[in-house]
Amino acid sequence: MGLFDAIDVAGSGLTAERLRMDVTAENLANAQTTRAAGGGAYHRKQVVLQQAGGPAFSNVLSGALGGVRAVDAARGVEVGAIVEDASATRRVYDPGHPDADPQGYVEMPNVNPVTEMVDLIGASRSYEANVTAMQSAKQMFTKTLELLR
Amino acid sequence: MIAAVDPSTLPAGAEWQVQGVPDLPPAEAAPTGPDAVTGGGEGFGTLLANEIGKLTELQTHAAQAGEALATGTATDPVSAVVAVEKAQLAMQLAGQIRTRGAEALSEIFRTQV
Repeated sequence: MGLFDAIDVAGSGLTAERLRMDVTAENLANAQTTRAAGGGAYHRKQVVLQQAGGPAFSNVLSGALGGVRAVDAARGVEVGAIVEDASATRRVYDPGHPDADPQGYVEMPNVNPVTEMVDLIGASRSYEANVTAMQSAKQMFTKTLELLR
Repeated sequence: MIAAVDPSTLPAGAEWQVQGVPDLPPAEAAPTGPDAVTGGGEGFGTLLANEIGKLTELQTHAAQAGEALATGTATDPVSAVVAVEKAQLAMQLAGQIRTRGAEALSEIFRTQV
């Protein structure tokens, strides 16, 4: 354990939550997009978070050799993947839309603004929690230094 | 970490006996020549130099992060904040150690002869 491990871990949480908020913002912005980059309607994107480091070879090896076990080392969080929500897209009847099919239906994204707002609030609160963790780590360090005064 | 002492392993009344002062290790031969101070692995000076090197590294990182933020090339403000925080805390630690070292030195200078 280094001196600033707690700060590093909280920092990784801040980075991950910021990216989560970026993805949520993209979902909200593309809530009406019928022409996604991959063709067809936009699909909602989700962030998959994983513990940083993961089962890397060096971690497993050091754990097997009796060093710091992989589960014990504080490493924080990282974004493992950004996956697309595979749920069905909405079909809206709008014959005047340029992307409407011959029956007059338009394929709209599977983005629910209410879900996205809740995700936004969750990311925001998680960010605040990580900021508080970092502040606490800093205060603990400063308080320890005050012992020397 | 102080290992817990099992009372049952102690002889009767052992807690009332005054422990003798352990023998001091035999004095080593007086170092000869200037190499004797720096030679011989991790001296206090080496340790101090290493720590100051790390402190300089942290300060450099913080300065680079601040510069990247100012010039707009930074993609992650969190890493910049973390670098600055680390540098600040490490500087405080170094300052406290310096203060204590200076106090110890002045205490030695005040010794009555």
